[in-house]
Amino acid sequence: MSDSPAIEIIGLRHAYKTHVAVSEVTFTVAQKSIHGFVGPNGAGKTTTLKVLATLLAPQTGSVHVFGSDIVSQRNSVRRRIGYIPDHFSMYRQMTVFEYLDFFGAAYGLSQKQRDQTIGDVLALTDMAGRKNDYIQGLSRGMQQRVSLARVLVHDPDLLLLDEPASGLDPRARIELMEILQELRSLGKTIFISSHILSELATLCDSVTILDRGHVKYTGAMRGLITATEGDITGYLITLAAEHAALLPALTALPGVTSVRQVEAGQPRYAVQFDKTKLAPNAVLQAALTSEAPIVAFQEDVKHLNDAFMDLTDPGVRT
Amino acid sequence: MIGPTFALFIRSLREDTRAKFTPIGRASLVLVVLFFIAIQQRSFIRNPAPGLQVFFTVMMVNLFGLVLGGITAFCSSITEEKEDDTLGLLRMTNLSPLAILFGKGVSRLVSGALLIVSQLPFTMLCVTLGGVSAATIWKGYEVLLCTLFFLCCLGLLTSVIAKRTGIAVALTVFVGAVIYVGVPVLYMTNFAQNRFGGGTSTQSLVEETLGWVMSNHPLYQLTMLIQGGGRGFLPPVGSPWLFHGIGGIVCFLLAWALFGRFCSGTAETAPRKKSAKPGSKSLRIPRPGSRPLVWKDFWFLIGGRRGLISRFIGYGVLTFGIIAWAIAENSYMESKVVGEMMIVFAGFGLGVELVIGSASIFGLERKGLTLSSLLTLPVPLGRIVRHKILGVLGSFIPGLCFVGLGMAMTPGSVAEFFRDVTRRDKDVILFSYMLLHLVAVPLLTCWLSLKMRRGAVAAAIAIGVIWNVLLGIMSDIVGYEAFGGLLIFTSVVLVAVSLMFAGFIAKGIPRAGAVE
Repeated sequence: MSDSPAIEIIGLRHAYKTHVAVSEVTFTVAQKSIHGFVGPNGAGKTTTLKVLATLLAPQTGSVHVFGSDIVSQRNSVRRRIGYIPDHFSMYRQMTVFEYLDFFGAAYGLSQKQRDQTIGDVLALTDMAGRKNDYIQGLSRGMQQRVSLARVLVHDPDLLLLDEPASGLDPRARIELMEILQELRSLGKTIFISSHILSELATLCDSVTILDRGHVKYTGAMRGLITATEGDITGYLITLAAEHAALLPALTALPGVTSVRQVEAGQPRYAVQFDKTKLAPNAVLQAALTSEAPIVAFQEDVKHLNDAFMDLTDPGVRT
Repeated sequence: MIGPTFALFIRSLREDTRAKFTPIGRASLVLVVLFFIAIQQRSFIRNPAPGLQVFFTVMMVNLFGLVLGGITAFCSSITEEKEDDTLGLLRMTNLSPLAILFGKGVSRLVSGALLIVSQLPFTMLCVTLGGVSAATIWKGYEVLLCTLFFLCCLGLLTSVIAKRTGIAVALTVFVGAVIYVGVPVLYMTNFAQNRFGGGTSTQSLVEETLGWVMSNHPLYQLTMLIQGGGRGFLPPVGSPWLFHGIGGIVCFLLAWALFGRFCSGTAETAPRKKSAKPGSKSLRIPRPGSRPLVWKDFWFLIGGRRGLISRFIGYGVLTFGIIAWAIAENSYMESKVVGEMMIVFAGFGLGVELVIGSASIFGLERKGLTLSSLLTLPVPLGRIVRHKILGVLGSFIPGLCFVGLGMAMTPGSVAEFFRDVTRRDKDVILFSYMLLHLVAVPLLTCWLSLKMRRGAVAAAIAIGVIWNVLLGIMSDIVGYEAFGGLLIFTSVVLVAVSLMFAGFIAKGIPRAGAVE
C-alpha cells in the first residue's frame, strides 16, 4: 500500500443545475483511520460520498483515493472501496448467502475465495446463523449488518458509510460501532457520515464538518473537542466533597491562568494553565498534596455537539 | 370511517395532481384528439354527419387512453403501498380494509373520470358540427364510464392479490384479454361455424353467454352506437351498467374479502428460511459463476428454472386450447391451422415478454434502489448492460420453442409468407419497418422505466400506437405511390430514434444510480 492518503479531495465542487451542493471542499483522510463526516441535513455529505463512491463525477476539483484519480482510474478505485448508501440497497428476494455470493462473484472472487471470505464476514458481522434467511425477513439492524458484510466481501481498503446507524436501535448501534473499531484494527480506513455525534466522538480519529457545502473544520477529532486555545489547556478536577485548601494550592502554581468552580454547590473545578510551563501531572500532584479527596482528573473536553453547534450556522439550507 | 377515508382519498388526489405525468398524459390525449380532428377536417364536407364522425373518434381515443392509462393506474393502487412498505402503516391507522380500498380506488376513478371530462370541449364541437344526438352523447359517455368503473375495480382486485405492480398488470391484462379479445374471437368463430359450417341454429347456454358478453363489449357498443344498432349476426347492444357495473361490484367485493389474506403485514416481515435440506433440489440455485449478473437476472428476475417451467406450461396450455379449438371447429386437428395460430399467439407472447423484460431490466433495480450497488462494481457499464440482457434472454426460450414448433407444423406457410414478403420492394420495406419495432419499442420502454416509477410499458405502447397511427394517416395523405418512400423515411427516423434512446439509456443509468 502506498503512502498516499486514503482520501484526498481538493477544491471539489458539485452542483445540481443551479443548486450548488458542495463548493471548494478540501480535506484528506489518513490511511487506517476512522474519519467522521458531519454536517446538518442538506450540507452536501451524501453528494461528497457519492463522488467518492464514483457514482458522481466531480465538476471541478480533484478527488483521489489511495492516490488513484476517481475519474481516470475509476475501476481501480472501485476495487478498493466499499460503499453503503443511506438507504437499504439490497436484493430482498435473495438469501443472505446468495446476496454475498453474488457480490463476491461480481468482484471476481473465485468460489473458494468466496467461501472463505463470506464465512469470515458473516462471523465478523455475527450473521453466520442467518445465512440461509431471506433478506426481506430480516430486521433493519440485521439488514444493515448484511450491507456491511456485502461491502467487506471483496476486502476493500476504504469503507464509505453513509448514515450506517440511522434507524438502528441503541444495541444495534453500539454493536455496529464495535464492528467498525474491529475493522480499523484490521487496517481498514473508514469514512463515516453520521448524525449521532456522541458515538462519532469516541469512534473517530479525525473529523470533517461540512455546512452548506463548505468545510467548516477538518482535522483531528481531539483538536475539535479539547478546550485548547493556543498554549492554554484545561483540566477538570472532581472531588468527593468540598475542600478549601485546593483552590490556593492550584492558583499558587506557576503557569495556572484560572481556577473556577464549574457549577455552584458542586465540588468540580476547571483549571486552565499554560502547557508550556506546567504539565498536567504537576497539577494533579499539587491537588493531591493539598489532600483534596479527588474522584476524577480529566481533560476538559467539549462535547462534539457543542463544537458542531459552534461551527455550523442555524437554520435550514435553502 | 368517513373522515379517515376522505383523508386517504385527498392524499391520493394530491399525489396524483403533483405527479408530472398526470397533466402530460391528459395534454397528450387532448393533442391526439385534436390531431385526429384536424386530419379528418377534409372529409367533413363530404360527410352528412361530421359531428358523429368526430364524436366516434373522441370516444375511441378515450377508450384507448382509458384502457392503457387505467391498467397502469388502477393496478398500482394497493401494490404501490406494498412496494413502499407503507401498507402496514395504513393498516395501523384507523382505516379499515374497506376504507383503504375505497380511498385508494375512488381517487383513481376520479382521475380517470377527469381524463374523460377533459374531452368535453370536443363534445361541444361535435354538437356544433351536427349529426350527433344528445342521446348518443349520453350513451357514449355511459359506456366509457362503465368501462372505467369495471377496470378500476378489476385493477383494485389484482392489486390486492399481487405483490408487485407488474404482476397485477399482467393479471389484469390476462383477464381483460379473455373478456375483450377471447370472447369476441370465440363468438365470431362460433357464428361462422353455425352459419357456414352447417351448425345448429339452436343456441346453447355457452353461446348465449358469449353473445351477452359480446353485447357488452365497449368497442362493440360504441361502434353500434355510431352505426345505429346491431347488424345481422351480431347480438343486440346490452346495457353498459349491467355487465360492467355488476362485474365491477363483484371485483370490489372480492378485493375486500381477500384484502386480509393478501395484504397482511405479517407475511411480509416474518423471517423466512430457505430450506437447507440437501435433498431439496427444486429449491437449489447454483452458485454464480464467471457471469454473476447473468446469474442474478436469470434466477431472480425471470424466475430461473421455475420461471421457465411456468412459461412452458403457459404456452402449453395455449397450444392445448388451440388444438381443442381446431378439433371443435373441424372435427379433426389440422396441423397447418394449429401451427399458424401457435406462431401468432407465441409471437404475441414473446412481444409481451420483450416489453416487460425491457421495463424490468433496469426499472426494477431503480425501484429497489439497487442500481448504486451495481454501479460501484469494478465493471464497465457496457458489460453490466450486456450481462443483464443475457440474463433476461432466457425468458424468451419457451416462446421461441413454441414459435419453432408452430413453424415445424406448417413449413409451407412460413416459406409462403417469406416469399410474399420478399416479392415486392414495398413489402420488404414494410416488413423491415415492423422488425425495427423489436428494437425501438424495448429501447423506449427501458428508457422510460428509468424515468418513470410506474407505467413505462403503457407509455411505450401508447407512443408506439400513436406513432403508427400517425404513419397511417400520413400514408393516407401522401397516397399509395409515395407510401414506399414514406416507409423508408419513417424507418430511418425509427433507427435514429432507437440510437437516441440507446444514448439516453447509457446516460440515464448512471444518473438514476446517482440519485438513489
